[in-house]
Amino acid sequence: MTEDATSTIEALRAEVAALRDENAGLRSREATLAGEAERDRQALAEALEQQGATAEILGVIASSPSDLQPVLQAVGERALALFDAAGVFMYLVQGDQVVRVAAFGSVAHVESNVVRPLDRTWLSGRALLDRRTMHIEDVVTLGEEEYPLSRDTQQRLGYRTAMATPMLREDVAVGLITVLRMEVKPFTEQQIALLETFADQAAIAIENARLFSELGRRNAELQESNRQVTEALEQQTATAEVLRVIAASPTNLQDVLERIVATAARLCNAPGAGLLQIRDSDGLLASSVNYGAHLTGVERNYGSKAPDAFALSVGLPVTRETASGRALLDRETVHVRDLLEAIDTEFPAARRSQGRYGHRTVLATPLMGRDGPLGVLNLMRYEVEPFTEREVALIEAFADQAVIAIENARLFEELERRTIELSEALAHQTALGGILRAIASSPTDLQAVLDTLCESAARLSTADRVVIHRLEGGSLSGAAEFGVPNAAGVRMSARDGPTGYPVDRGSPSGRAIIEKRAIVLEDVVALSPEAFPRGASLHATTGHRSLVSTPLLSRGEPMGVLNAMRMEVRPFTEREIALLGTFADQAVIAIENSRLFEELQEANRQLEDASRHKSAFLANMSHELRTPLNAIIGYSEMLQEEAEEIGEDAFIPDLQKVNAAGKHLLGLINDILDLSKIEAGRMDLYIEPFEVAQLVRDVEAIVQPLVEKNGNRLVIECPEDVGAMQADLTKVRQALFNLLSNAAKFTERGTITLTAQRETNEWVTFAVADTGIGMTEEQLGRLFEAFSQAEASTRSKYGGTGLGLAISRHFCRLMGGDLTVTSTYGRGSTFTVRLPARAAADAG
Amino acid sequence: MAKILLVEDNEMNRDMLARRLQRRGHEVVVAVDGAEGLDLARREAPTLILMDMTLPVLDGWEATRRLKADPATGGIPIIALTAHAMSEDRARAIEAGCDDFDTKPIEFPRLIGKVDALLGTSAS
Repeated sequence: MTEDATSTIEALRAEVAALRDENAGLRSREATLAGEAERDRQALAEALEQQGATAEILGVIASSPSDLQPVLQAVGERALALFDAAGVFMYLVQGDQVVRVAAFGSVAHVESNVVRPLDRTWLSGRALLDRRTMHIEDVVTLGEEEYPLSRDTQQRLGYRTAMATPMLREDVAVGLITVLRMEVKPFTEQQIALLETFADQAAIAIENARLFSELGRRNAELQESNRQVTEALEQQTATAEVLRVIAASPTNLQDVLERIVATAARLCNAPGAGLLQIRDSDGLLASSVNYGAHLTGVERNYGSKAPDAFALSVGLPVTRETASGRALLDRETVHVRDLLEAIDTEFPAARRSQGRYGHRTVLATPLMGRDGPLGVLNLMRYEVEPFTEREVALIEAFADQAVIAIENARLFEELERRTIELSEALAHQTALGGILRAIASSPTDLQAVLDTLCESAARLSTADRVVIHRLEGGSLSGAAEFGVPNAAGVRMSARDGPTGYPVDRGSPSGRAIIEKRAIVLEDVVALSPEAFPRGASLHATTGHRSLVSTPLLSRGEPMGVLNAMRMEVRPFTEREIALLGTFADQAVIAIENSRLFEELQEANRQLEDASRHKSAFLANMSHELRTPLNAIIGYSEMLQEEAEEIGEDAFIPDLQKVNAAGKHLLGLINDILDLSKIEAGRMDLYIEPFEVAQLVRDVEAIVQPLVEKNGNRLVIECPEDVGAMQADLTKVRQALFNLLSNAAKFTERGTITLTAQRETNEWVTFAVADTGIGMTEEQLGRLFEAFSQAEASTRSKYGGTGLGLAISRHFCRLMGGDLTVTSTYGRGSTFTVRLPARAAADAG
Repeated sequence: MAKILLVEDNEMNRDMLARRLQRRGHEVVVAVDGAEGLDLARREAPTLILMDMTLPVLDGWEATRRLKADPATGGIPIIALTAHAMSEDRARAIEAGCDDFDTKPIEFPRLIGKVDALLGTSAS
């Protein structure tokens, strides 16, 4: 449009030049043409003025690109002057409404609708909708129905000629300029074109302003997103830093804490920082990490470099009187803008540390773990410079990460500790199990057990040398050892003979025994010779440095010492000392076991001796008793014979009584001797072949008088072809005689039957049956026990020792057979001897 | 009747047995230990010897072995007198060369049976 205006001006200039040229030639026509010339001159002036106005508006647009109002002002004022108008109005389209934004000229102040509908009820509305200039020479001529709003406005303002041009931007009408004249005077084509130029310029200004505000908004958005991105980045950085700390040293909690504090201080621009933890021992808040410019060299070394710093630091009670305490109690961040200002009213307990370090602004954030607060993370500034919201948010996010890091590190430490404990416990169990097995499997070989013990103790306590000394007769002598040999290269053990040295306070071993507790020495070289005079000489022998002497205590009584040694200065830990104590206990058990075993063996030996002596005594005794008895029996028999010869029959019954009593006593003595031999396992067999029938006949001859005494009848059932057998003839005869004499004793006027028969080729049985008193079940149960006759009264009535059946059964069993019984009370009994036809000499 | 050497250290047993054998009509020579028994056996040449086994100076087993080893006395039957139930003593007596044995205390009729049996055997 500007170009159009310029070209118009150029054209006009050319026209003017042409006219000037004509002027010379047409001087004659000057009079007639004077009016035309004047008109042309006016047109030229007008064109120049219009050009100036357009340029001026362009200047305004350029100088205020963001502001629409000065542009509208310039357009309005120029249009009013150039178009010789009574009013100029400018409108902007806002949605479906049209809003007047500027008014110029004499009618500008007449009341009129500022907000109008975007429709065809008025001239300008049509110009907007049709996106073209509307030029009405006389508004009064417009139809009432067609332009109701324009007619209404016309009546109020009284204008006649009107022109409306839309402001177009990319074919969209964004606004409108309306120019009004109070008289009917149409606008020229030039004027219409100029107004359209103004409209275009206004549209540019509007677009500029819109773009500018859009840019501003975009810029603000960008700044906001940039800020968000920065913040997120910082938090990510913090997280990443913490993660890096965790990854770098997951096992060392102190290291994690120090890195957390340092990183937090850096990210939040705090020159000082610290971490306090609740100390388990006293419940106070104690400093575990200090960081920053305010610290002294010593304080800066707090933490990992001084293991006890946390335990030794002065604790703070958890109260609301410090920022840290308050953060912990409230479980939220405490931000103190100026500690010095608030110290008297809010935080009196912080006075001391504030005086020392001089910090002013403090940010205390609790570290909230799963099971409660872990501690407080503090940031400090030495001027009053409050932390921004962003920094507070950042430190809180950081604290959450730190808690995870701390809990992870704690879990890791716990896990590692448990794993170590478990594997150690397993190793100890295995070793102790091995020793117990060794003790159990070889109670007699104490040396092997003690050797194993030394080896296990050395291996598990990582000692270079372990020695067990036993306390014998008030002095110590080496019993077992394992590990590097002593300096002399001499292995000492009980096998090499005693290496005894006295038990006194001069040696760690002696002291361990006297004080009945483990003596732990970190370095024997560092000891004063006065304290352990003998310890120094021992060191000279073995060259060891760290030492533990554990006494071997059996029910509180020392019986030796277990020494564990290291050739370097590396003190034994509590765990290792306890472990050595366990090994010492094992050694005590082993030694006690061995001693008990030996005692037991000795007792056994003594018992065997005693038993042997008893048997020998009995044998001797019975021999000693038998000799005078033989005389009694023999002389009484002889006297009977002599009395018969000389006719002194009156002596005979008495001599018979003496003889019978002697024989009974002899029987008793023989039975007792037999029984004692059987019990001592020293009853020997004399196996010989003999004819069974002959044996039966011998027994019959001996027992016949006894059977007849009670009026009984003896029946023998023995086939002549029963044959021979191999056995101890004397013992078989003794057994049969015993059974038959019993039957005779317990039967009156009855029948006693002795049956002998061969049962296959392997066995021979002898049965003694009677028709006597018989026995009850209870009596049968105790029948074969020594000294048991069915009843005490039985003995007085029937006599006998009560040993016969027990001895007979023993004899039968010695020969590989047995003696059994069946009986019916009141009806009689049957005893059966069953023997192998060929008894072996060692059958018993 | 026969000449019997009785080797017995116990005085009462020796006296009793000697008198009872004499009552039966035998001639009895007595010795109190093994050495004397050996000596008398050589000098007196008895028909039969009754030998206690547990003797002082020289025990019955050794005395028997020597008597049996000596051609001059080897033919004299010997009856061992052993303690009751001492089967090993009896076994050793047979091993030493005794011809028979009887257990103490002496049941005189049984011993006489054995003596008569051996004298009958030696006589025939």
